Amino acid sequence: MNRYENNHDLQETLASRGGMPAGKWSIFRLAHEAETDSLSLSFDGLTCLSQLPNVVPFAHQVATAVRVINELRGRALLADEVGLGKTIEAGIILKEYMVRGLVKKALVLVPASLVLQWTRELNEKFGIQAFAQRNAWSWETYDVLVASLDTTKRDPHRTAVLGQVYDLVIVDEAHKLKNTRTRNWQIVNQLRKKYLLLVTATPMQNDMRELYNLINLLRPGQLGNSTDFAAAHVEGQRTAKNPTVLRGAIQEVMVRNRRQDSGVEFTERTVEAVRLELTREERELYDAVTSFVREEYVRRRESRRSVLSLITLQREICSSSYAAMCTIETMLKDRRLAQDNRVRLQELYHQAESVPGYSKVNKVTEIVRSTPEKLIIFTEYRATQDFLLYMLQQSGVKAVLYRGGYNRGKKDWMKDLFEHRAQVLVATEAGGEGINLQFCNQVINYDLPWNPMRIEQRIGRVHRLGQTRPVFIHNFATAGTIEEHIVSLLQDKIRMFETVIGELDVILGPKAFENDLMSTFMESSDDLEVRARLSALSRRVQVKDASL
Amino acid sequence: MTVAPDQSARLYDFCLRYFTHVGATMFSAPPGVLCAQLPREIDKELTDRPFYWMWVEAMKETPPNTVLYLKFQPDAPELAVPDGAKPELITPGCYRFMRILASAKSRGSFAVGYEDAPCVTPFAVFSVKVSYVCDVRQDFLESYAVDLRDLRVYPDAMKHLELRRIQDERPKATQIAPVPYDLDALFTLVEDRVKTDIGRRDQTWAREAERRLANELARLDAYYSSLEQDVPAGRRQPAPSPANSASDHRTEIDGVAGGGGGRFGAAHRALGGAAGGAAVASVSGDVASVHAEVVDTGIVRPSNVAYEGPRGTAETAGTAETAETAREEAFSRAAERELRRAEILWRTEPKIAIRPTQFALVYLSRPPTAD
Repeated sequence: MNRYENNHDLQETLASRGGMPAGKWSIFRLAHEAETDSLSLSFDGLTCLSQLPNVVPFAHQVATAVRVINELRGRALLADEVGLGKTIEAGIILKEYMVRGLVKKALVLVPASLVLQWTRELNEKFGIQAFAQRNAWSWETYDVLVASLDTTKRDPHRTAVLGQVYDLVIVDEAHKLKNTRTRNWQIVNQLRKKYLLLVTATPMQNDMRELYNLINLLRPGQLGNSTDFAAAHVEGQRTAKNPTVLRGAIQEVMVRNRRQDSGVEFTERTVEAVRLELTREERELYDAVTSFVREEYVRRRESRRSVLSLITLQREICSSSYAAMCTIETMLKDRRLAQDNRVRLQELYHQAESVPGYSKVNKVTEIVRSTPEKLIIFTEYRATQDFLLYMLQQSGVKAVLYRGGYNRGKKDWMKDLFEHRAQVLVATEAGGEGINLQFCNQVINYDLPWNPMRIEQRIGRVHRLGQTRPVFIHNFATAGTIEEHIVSLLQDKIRMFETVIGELDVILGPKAFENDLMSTFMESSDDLEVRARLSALSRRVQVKDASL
Repeated sequence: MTVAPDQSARLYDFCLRYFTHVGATMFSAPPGVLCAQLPREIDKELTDRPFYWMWVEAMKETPPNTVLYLKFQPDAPELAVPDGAKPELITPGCYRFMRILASAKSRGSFAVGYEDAPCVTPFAVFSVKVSYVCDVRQDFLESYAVDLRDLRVYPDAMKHLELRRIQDERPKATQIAPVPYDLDALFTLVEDRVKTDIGRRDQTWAREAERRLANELARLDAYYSSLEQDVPAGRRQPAPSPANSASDHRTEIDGVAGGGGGRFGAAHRALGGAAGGAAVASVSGDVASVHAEVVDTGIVRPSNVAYEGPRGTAETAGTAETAETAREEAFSRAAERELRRAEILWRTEPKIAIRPTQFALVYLSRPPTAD
């Protein structure tokens, strides 16, 4: 039995005109033509492509849009690897639904830094009248609204947005919804929506529950309840029990295109390890900090205390002494700190203060001066970022900062300054999330994250669709430090910079990787043992990757 | 940016006819370019400046009429136009063209036409948009002519009328036979005929959508039922029975975009949604306030994290699960279940939307048929 919905608008309008159908036949025919033109003539296919003269989509983007609409029925996780144009895919899907009359009211939730970029792209590329959310009235006023997830989850916006009914909700950088206890997850869960697109290149960062939580937003029960899921699919925190079965279930809600399969030609990527020698003072400081960390690490492990600050300190000393000083300062504020440790930390602090020259900074200045090209320098730490900016300015190099804490307008401004005024952008990858900087083709990794996913996020800022020139990546590695091992492991052994890690992230969470690295460094008695253990680690990664 | 030549020719032809029919003043322009001065009421329809018109009318201003300079190919020749109008590239789906389509549709909703023949009788001509809607959509545009003398319905009317010489003005030498008609009865007649015609068509799409709907609902029910089993018996909340909630929603569903609002009320209020606080409080005040707290408790990031290192570890909540929150979770779970069910129905349930889009009174010498 068919369910009909009758629309009586025409009849009511006619009645309001006294039943007189006044009008010209010639325009009637024109209107009939216009109505015919606006029809969705079949269930399948994309009708919107002819209406997108400003977008030339790649085959994988069109295939993704078709699959999401016809097979995944509009509730999907778009998890293409970085740089394959997930935004374009989401835009095509939105446009198609709008052209077909299935979506009128849509909400795009993105990090604050991407609000304007999304608004602009929807307007310019897709001809969709999208507005950036500005105040509490925006929710009701506009049909297609782009808003920051962080703003949306706070009152009064939260109350306002939950009062709306959305035909489509798109969440960019959806890995921020990995935890069901966060407001991020809860607000998206509570939104009233017909279709839902979650967009992220890293659907799973730390453990398999994160992927489960994302999929539960799309289709509750797709992977069973959490107990069933754990029993059926989870072997370890990051290991799937039966990857083939799990992949089958996930594919019903997820699309993941890989660079190597997409058929898209990316420009060449040249990776260079820049080996540096520390100055004598830097070397002494490094050794002193490392020996402190090593002793304290073993002690804390034995007493089962947190080693997080030690890991941070060890990584920071590889980055810059300035960054390490900040953490030492924080550690000194801890009242529970033993007296002998306090004295040692104070000594380290003074030692760091008195370092007269910085080999890494000198190298940066040298590279910057040797090229007229624009460069992005990535670092993990804000302290290093501030320090670098200061040092660059001292050497007369025009540089700007880019970091997570900046608001939307400031990020846009900084990007603009970098494009038009400055030569160098000093960024943290957390701040650079999602921005497109294809006008630049040089990246300096001042320090390397121990998290494989973040490396690709960094490079993805420049090495993505739209980049026309070869991309050069300079990885700084100071001789005789942990950093040297890290660079060699990521660059030469796992070849993380040349082949984009694909399913690796699904099997090997970055946290495990980080912990394995730390215990390798801290528990090995000498350099030889470090090398042996890292080789074993890289073999394990490669075997797992190949087994997929 | 490229526009296929046949496509741009079609757009050009449409816009030219539109401007001519609405009485715009056309400036001479080379092929592939249109330059038109818009009458005031057309200007209002094609440009989005309500505040400007409000001001113009309040101040009784008489600004010169807008001149539109439309290019249909990016490399169309430049033109010196009055008032310094800027060239706009017209592509399918571009803002201006969508406004022109919308204006044409609204202005062409009704008409009276006369066939150029000595003796004519009245027919009511309907255009009806039929949409098969589930999680995807397919449209058809049907047209019917009803002979007002005997109420006989002729399908595919527009196809046949395209071949007739129909004009806006009544030819002087034509005799017309007026016939009284009942509008409501005519609309009902056509709607019934549309339904009969649809009934004869292949309905595989609806059966497939029903099957998908049943699968989705079964999965949802299995999931939430399995969660129910995890909650101690005393804390369980009654879940909405599938049959009841389905029939409840059926009365409210609107298949097209933006039409799903009504059905969400109860589910969303219970989930702690907007405007729902008071309503929930009236049912169970303390539960609502506790729930609001649970929902509002975000993750507090440690303030002493001085670097932008991996954030994952910070996002683990440390709240102990008390009996109160467990009950609360079960409560919001029931509401969540209802909300998800409403969304699935809204999205997947097959519906057929029937929307008459045009109505005309046309005087014809004979019925609109092939012979």
